[in-house]
Amino acid sequence: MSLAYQPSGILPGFNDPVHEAQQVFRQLLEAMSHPSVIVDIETTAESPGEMREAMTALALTLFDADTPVWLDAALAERASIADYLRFHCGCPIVQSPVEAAFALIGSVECLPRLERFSMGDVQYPERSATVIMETPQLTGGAAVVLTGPGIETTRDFDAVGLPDWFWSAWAVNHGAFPLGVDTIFTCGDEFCALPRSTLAEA
Amino acid sequence: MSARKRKTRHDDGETGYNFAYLDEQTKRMIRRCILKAVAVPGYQVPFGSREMPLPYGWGTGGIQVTASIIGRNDMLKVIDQGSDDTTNAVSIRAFFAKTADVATTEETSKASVIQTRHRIPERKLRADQILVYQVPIPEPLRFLEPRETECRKVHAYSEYGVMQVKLYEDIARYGRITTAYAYPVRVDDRYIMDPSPIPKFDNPKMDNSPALQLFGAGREKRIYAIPPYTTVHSLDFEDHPFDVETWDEPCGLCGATDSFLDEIILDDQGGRMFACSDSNFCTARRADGHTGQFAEDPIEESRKGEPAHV
Ligand SMILES: [Zn+2]
Repeated sequence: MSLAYQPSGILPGFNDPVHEAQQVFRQLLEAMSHPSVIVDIETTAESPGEMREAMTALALTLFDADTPVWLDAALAERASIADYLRFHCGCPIVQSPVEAAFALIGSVECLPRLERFSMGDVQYPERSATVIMETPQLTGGAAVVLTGPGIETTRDFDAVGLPDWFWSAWAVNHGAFPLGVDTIFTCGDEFCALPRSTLAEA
Repeated sequence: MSARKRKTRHDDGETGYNFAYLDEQTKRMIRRCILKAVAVPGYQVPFGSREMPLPYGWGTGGIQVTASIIGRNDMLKVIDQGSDDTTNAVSIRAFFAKTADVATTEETSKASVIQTRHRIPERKLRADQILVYQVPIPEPLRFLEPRETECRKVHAYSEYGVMQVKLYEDIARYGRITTAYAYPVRVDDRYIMDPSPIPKFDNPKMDNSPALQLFGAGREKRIYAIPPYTTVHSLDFEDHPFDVETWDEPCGLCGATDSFLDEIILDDQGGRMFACSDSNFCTARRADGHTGQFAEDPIEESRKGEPAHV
C-alpha cells in the first residue's frame, strides 16, 4: 500500500479510520432507527473551523468520490473545510443543493428550503439528499411530537434554532413519502436524526 | 500543522487485510444504502454487491450487510433454519471470527448482531440487537411479474392489486392461502415486502419488533430494512384473516407449545417426533428444567408405541 502524506494546513482525520468509521456508522444507524434519540460520539479527528466534531465524524464516515457534497455559505467561506473534505474523503463539492447527496449546513438559520435538495425519484427514492445541520442546541426549544417507524409511542423533539418555516416544510417532506430528504441534526459532538418517514406535529 | 504520515482510508494497515473482508469503500457504499433502507421501510435499495468468498445461496447478501455493520465490540450469532450448527451457520460464524476477530455466541440473548437464514429466533429480540436476514429472492412480485422494471413501477405507485388477486386465487381454489414461507407483508402501510423464506409462523415477530431488521440479497443486489417499532402486516382478507401454523403436540424435547416445530424421523419404523426448530431456544428451556415426552431417549420412547402425533 502507498502511504498518503498529510499536506501541511490540513487537520487530521480519524486516527483509526476503519474502526472509528464503523463506530460512528453504528451510532448513526441507531440514530436513524430511533428518530430524535441523541447520541454522542468520541472522535480523534480534528474539526476544521465551523465544522464541529459530530459533523466532521459523519463526513469522514459517509463521504467519498461517489457522494457530491454541498456546503452552505457558513462552511463554504472557509476554504479549509472544502480542502479537508476533498483531502480526507475525495468527495466532489458541488455548487447547487439539488446536485448533492449530502449537504452540510453550518448555520441552521440559513438552511435552504428543503425542496431545493433532491427528494429522490418515485422509482428510486433512495436518490435523495441527506441534510446534516449544526444546531445551537438539540433540546430546549419548542417541541414537536414525533410518530412513525422507530418510535414506540411518541417522542418529543425540541431542537433550538430551526427556521420558522421548518416544520411546515417538514410536513410537506413527510407527505411526499417515499420521496423526501433525510436529516441529521448535529450540535458539537452530539447528533440525532429524522428520516423522511417521521411525522412531526405541533 | 506539520506534515505527518497517515494510513490511507482504504486499508487497515499495510498488509492488504480488510476488516470484515470488505474494503472501506464498499462498506461506505453499503452503509449509505442501509441508511436509506431504514429511511424508506420495506423499499428495496439497489447496491453494488461484491464478489464474496462464498457462493451465492450461502448468504452473500446477509454477509455483506453484517460485514458493513459489525465491529470489534459485537457479539455475533448465526443461525440457519433455527440451528447454530449447520455447515452454513458454522462457516459464516468462522468467516467473521477470522476476518473481523469478532466474538461469537449461540445464545440469542447475548448476541448484538444475529445473521439468519430462514428463521426468526423464538426469544423476543431487544432494541440493542440487529437481525440480518439472508435473502435469496427479494422481490415479492417476482412470481407474478418477472420484469424488474415493471415490479419497480408497481412498488413506486403502490399498484398492489395484482398481489391481492394472487393470494385470493388460492382461497378460491383451496379455501385458504397456501403460502407457508416467504409470506408477503406490508411495511408501515406502504411497501409490500418479501420477508425471505421464513415460515409464516415468524411473520408476527416482525411487527413492532424493538430490534432493527436488515435484509441483504447478494445475487439480486438489494438491501431493505424494517426499523424498530414499525407496523408489519401480513397480507390477508377480511373473510380470511392471516393465521400461523399450529401443532397438536408440544416439542418432544422441551415441551414448548409456542415454538415452531420441525418433524424429526427417529427410525425406519415410522417413529417420529416434533422438536423446536430454534435449537438454542430448546436447549435453554431444557437447561431451565423443562422436558418433553422424548427428552430421555427419543428412539426408545417412540418404540413404546406412545403416540408421536395425535
Ligand atoms: Zn423444544
